[in-house]
Amino acid sequence: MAATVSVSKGVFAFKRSKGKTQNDATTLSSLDFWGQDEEADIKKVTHKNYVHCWKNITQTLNNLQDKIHAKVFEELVTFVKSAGENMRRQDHGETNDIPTACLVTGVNMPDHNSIFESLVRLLTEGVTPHIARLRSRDCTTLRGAVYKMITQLMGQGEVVDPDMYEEVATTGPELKRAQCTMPVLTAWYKELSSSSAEKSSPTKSGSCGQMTAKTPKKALASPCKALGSPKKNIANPMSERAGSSHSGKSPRKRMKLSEKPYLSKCHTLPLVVILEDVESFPSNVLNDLILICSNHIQNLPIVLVFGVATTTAAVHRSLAQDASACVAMEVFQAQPSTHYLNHVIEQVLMSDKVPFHIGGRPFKLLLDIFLYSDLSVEKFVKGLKVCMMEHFLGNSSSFLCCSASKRTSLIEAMTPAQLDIIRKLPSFRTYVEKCPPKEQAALLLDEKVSKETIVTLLSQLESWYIRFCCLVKVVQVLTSTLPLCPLGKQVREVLATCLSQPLLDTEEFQKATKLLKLMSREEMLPILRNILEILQDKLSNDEEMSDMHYKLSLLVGRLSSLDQLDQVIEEPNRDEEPTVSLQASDRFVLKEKLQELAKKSRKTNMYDTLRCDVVELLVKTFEQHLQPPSLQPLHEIMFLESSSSVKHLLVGVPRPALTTALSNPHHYLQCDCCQLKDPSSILTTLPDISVAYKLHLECGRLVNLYDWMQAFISVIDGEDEDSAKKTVDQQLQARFVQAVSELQFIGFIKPTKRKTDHVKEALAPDQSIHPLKDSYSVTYKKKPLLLEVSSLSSCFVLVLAN
Amino acid sequence: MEVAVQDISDSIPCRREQIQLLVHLLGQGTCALPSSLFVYGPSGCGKTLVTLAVLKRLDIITAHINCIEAYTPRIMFETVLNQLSGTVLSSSNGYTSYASCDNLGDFVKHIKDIGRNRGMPRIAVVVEHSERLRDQDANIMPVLCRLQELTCSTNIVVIFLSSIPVDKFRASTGFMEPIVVHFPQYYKNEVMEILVKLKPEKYSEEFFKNYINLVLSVFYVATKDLPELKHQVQLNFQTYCEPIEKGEAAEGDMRQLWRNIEPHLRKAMNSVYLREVSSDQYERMQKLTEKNEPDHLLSNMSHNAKMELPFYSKFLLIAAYLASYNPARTDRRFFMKYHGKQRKTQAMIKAKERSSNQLVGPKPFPLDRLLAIFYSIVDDRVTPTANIFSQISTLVTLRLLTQIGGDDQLDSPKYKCVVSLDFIRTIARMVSFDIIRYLYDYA
Amino acid sequence: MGLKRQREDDEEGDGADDLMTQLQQHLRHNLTLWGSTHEAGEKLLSLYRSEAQHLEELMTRTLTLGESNSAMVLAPRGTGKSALLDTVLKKLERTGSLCEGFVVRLSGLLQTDDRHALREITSQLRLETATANKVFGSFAENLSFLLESLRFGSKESSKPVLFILEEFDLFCHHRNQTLLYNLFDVAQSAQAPICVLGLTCRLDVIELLEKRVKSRFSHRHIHLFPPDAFDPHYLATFTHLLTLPPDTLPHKDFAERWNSDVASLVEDIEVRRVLKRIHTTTKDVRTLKAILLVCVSGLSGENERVDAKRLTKAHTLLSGDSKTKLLHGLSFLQLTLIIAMSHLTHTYDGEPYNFEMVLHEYLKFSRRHSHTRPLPRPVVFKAFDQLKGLELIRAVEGNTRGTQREYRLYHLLVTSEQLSTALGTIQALPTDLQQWAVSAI
Repeated sequence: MAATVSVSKGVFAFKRSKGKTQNDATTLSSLDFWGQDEEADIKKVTHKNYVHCWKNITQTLNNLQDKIHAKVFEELVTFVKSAGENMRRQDHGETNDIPTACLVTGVNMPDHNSIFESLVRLLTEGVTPHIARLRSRDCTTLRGAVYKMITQLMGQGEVVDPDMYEEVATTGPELKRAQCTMPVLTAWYKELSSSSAEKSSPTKSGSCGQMTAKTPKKALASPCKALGSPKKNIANPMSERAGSSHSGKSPRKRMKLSEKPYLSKCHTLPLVVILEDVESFPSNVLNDLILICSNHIQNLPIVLVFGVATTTAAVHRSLAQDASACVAMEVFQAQPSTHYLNHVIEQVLMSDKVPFHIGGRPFKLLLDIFLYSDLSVEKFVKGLKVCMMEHFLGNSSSFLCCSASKRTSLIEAMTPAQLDIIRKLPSFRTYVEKCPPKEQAALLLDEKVSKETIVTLLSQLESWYIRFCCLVKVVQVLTSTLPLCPLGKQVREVLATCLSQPLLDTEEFQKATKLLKLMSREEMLPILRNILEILQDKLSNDEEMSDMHYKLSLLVGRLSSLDQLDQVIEEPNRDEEPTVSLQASDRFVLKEKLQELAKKSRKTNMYDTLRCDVVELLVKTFEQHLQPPSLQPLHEIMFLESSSSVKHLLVGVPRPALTTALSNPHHYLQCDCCQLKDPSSILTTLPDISVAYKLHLECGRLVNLYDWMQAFISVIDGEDEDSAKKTVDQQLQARFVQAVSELQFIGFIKPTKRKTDHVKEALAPDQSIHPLKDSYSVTYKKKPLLLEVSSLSSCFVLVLAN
Repeated sequence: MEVAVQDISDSIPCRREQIQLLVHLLGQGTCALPSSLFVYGPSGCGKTLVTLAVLKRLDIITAHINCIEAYTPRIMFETVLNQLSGTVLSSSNGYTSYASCDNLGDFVKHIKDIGRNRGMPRIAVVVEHSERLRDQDANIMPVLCRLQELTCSTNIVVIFLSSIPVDKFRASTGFMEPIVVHFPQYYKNEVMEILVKLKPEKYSEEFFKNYINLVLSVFYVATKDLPELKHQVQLNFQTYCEPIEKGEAAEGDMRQLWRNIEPHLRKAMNSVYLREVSSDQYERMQKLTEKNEPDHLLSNMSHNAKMELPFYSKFLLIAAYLASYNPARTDRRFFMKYHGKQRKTQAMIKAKERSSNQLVGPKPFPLDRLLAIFYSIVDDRVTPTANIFSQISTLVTLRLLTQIGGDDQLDSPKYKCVVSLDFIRTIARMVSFDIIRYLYDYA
Repeated sequence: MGLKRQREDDEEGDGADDLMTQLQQHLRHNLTLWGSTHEAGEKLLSLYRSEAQHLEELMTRTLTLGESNSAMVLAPRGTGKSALLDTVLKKLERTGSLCEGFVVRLSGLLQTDDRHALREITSQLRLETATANKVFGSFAENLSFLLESLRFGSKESSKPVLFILEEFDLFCHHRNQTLLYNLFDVAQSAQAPICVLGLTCRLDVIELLEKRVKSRFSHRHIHLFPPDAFDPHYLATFTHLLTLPPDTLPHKDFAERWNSDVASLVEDIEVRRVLKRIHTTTKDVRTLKAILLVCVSGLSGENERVDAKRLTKAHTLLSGDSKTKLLHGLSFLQLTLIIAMSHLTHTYDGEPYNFEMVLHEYLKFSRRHSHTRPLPRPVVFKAFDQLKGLELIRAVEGNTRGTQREYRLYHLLVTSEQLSTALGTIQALPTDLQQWAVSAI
């Protein structure tokens, strides 16, 4: 199966390059909107950096995407394969069971699409070109479902390979909608298999594309071109890949690999039907679909793949007995998205490849969004992207945020203006203040000096970050096994804390150290070994760390060889004693000495001391290196620290926004006509809707339309106070009605037929929870209605939440 | 005639009576067919098998359709016509059927033609799952019943196969009573007789018989469905034989074998009807179990019971559950710090409807109430962001909630929590929230 | 022993068998549920002489004198409306008066709307070619064109058409009854000589007609009342159905023997009893035909005569309560559920209940009888689901949208009698289950 994996990589090599191009295309076009009023060149530079960063990230992500699910996919693919073979081998006499793979994908909806795409890709390369993806939204009726299924299986211009969304190639014979029935499918498959069976002579390097292409040549004239096109379907992506992927090798390799499975049993390509979201399929459709399939299983080797977001129990809930009797399910558990996320953090956030780094608060924010609202990695990455944009856009100094190689040249080319930007950075200032005074002047005035320092500082910053990340891992390893792990099990949690504040100051860490000091040797040793490894592979080239590593290794060595050492160490303690007593001049002193000596001797267990040393050492290093980035000079260039802007981009708050818009239009309109001193005041110049809104705030739970309109009118044309005048200006009334209906459309009010006396008990449930403050509909009393106005029904309830 | 009966009943055990009846009714040679037969009996008792076999033996031209598949009349008609006229769909004819036909009038006419062109043969139309016909337009059923009459002088019989007795079909006008043939469920001994045929050659007959006896003793209570039993027999035989493979037991000593197989059977009992595992995966699991990995099967079953939800979603779900299983008036009591102490009378009210709430099922609740409860049970205070709302809709698409009426915010939608109690309890345990304390039925 | 002689006088081995097959062929022909043999036709004519007369004269009027008529033939199912009509038509054919007219037969079952009906008419009048490249504004226009094209020159010389509408009531459901309106209109206003005959079993069919249609219909009803006395009519039909028409078989004597057998059969007490029972359940001849068919089809060389035993067997085979038969097929689990439900029906006197409640009952039961360990919930649910599939329980109407399947409300469709009878005959039923059932019933 390794074959397919490497194949899939091949594909990704292609996909990546493609994604890149798209990315460039879009963002370059957006260059014009990019940045604020700086001079163009910085803008350009920054933008280039941004694009570059994002490219890096997407690359790593794409690689990840497949590695994550590689294992379960392997299993799945093998399952499908074997299922197909079995079905052909023992033409299963009487069993009508459909082999069914039940892929339990997490509840993280947004990621599913990508999961299934890669699955489909693997299947097309490894097993069969005949794949149908059914989504519940297409399958509201059995008819629609079957149509979808058959068209896709027969390659009716349905895109099997997600790479080819552009050209929709009809690969099968053209069919009218009415023709898409199971008999037709059966006939088609019979021909296909029979002709491909004789075609299966391995001399021909028949990748399925050609094979399916061959089939019709033997068949009669008319549909030849129609059926012929499968070559197009399967061959196309290859040729395209050959074109687009930079190394012409990968596609060739792909073809070679993809030959094998087809040739081995090309006459029995299973038909794979993927139901992406089984839960939301209407159960009757699902039942019938399954029954139909099992009815034809004798001639069509159909394999079902259920995408289940929740649990397999859901499948049974929606299946009736007769249907569930003809599926033979196997459950495949996809990797939980948290696991995926860890990888992302590991390889994107904590990598030195990407110059851009994310600071404590934004990271926390992203993490919270992920853990609290949706476990979707897609969204996490999107959030990350937003952060990057924010960084590159908002922070003018970010034009230096790029790989070291480029940076030097950039810094060389810096104009004084740009240099000033850097000099103005607060962290730089603090750094300068720390420096001895004579250097300060040079730093601030001499261009050359400051440039050099900047270079050095930045490189330092980078190496520091590497160290930082590595140490974060160390901390995680160290503390994750502690009872009720105070710093959290996952790397992400440790990272979050370390990014936001110096580790030593957190009381969690204090707890941790206490616990560490009680740790037994058996636990300690393996952990330390791990740590050593981590340090080894990360910081072999970093000198300060390497010496720390050296110390640690020594300690570990002693720890491990403790038992033989023990008695050897006992000796010095013993002959220490007399010396002490000799020096004893005064007996009090002597007494003390003796006491503490006693104490020491009681607890001079070699192990304890060693353990203490270890902990000391570690703590020391942490103290030295695990400072939050915000304390590092020039961190602004590489780190995004402020989360506020990002937050209000990422976390929408619809209702408050709405209310602000209505209560204070100026906030959005920025028009000078309606600035309000206090938000509750009403101006004539306000938009009608907000006037209506403010008025209805004043009155009760049920608003009487007529009063409302009177108030409205009196506000709009305030001058004449005689409300006694019965004739309402038509235009005003129209405006009012419009405003009201707008309000209703937004969902603040809705018409009701409620009578006064009924309100009470109708309200009983509401009032019971009413004191539950926010988010609950404000309940008031109702005013009797006076007179019908307009076609709208006469009363409106506030359903305004929070 | 009797010869035919003999042959078929040799190939298909335990169905002699039905076979005989069918053969007799259809008659041999060129004699006139009855206008319609109605074959019914529980699923998996050989209706289709027997019928088709008989028709084949009496060489009657047969069209066999499945009504589930024929979800439009057009499909049904064309399939039948194709099969009767012997039209073979192929790429060469562009998969076009014998004739495009979507109404009964044409259908009947076409059948007449086919009959004429093929020289008045004996024709049979077998309609499987015919109970589905009732969902289609009302005329089809009666027309099929009297197809012989309508296609006058075509010697055709329509055979309905169904698991539902004919009484349920009488609704539509013009329905002509077909001759009913009932296929009873196999008796236990018959089941034995059939299952024994699965015997792998390397084991002795009565050893296998014993095995089947064991399996039946466990499963026969739960199902008489032959395919199901077959499935179980094949599923467990491997494990049954293990002691013998290992040489721990002789074929003889039943007790030993029983002790070995019994837990497995009990385990498999949980999966009757629901094919959780296909047999080979089951075997793999058995292997794992041997590799002292205790009941991997069950863990496999149960690992799908637990599932990861976002933190707030969990609370939303819990809130939804509470909202749909607690009467609204009790909310104050559960979710407010200082609710007035409830009056004595409530005790008896509760006593009356105590057990019911879980039995009657969830009640719909408005969005506001859900949110209110949500905010009160979540400890830290949450701003009602778009994320929260989107989570609700996610829960709906996951079918953990169902939305009732009101597809948008405007006409305030009502929701319902459709998860089971133990499910919600596991969820609650994850966030260490004691849901029972908040449930009206239990609190 | 009659057979013995047979064997002797013809050499070929299984003479009896192919005799039987011939016999069967004839009898099957008698016993087809529709249409009628020549003899049966005659019988019908004799039975409904006046009605036949009436019909015949109506049609001849149209055919010969070119006057238009419309009439309705009403009778319960299986009386032989169509058969009678056919025989009358045959008669007309013999007299030759039919040849200058057309017969257009439509069936409400087939021509489900007027468009189809019109197409059918066109083809039956063999006017496809004429209408091939024409577009008609309205239905009436089209129809009148059809009739137009049947006439050459003067009104008299135009060809008369007999419209025979079977399942007439179904035509009434077509959109604003255009077809009927036009036909009756033509008939009434005598534009062309047509005769519209409607055959239906609905006595209230006239009520189905719209006013404008009704007003154009000549209210000519022809009712066929089948004489349904058990003796002699029913027995007569019985004998008639079984008797071989003279000189159909090569072996005269065999045929005679057979017929005499049948004659004696009617006298048989046992046979009469069975027939009586059938007759009391339904007077529909077709049921009798079906039963007889089963009997006859069983005949062969070895057992060559219909007797009471055979008859009763066939009768029990075809009659008998299907629900009890279904219950036989159920597993003990499902039976337990059914019993539980009948318990519930008693306790909630007829209120519907959902799966949860049933499960509750079931669990209570199995707790009481500790040795029957309760099955896991999903299994029970599937079993319950199967019951629904067998329509032994019916879901309550109303919006089931959004309610889980566990909580849908159901009614039990099995009466306690059916249950008890079924349980009585099921073998190896656990005793405690038995008792529980008894307590339910």
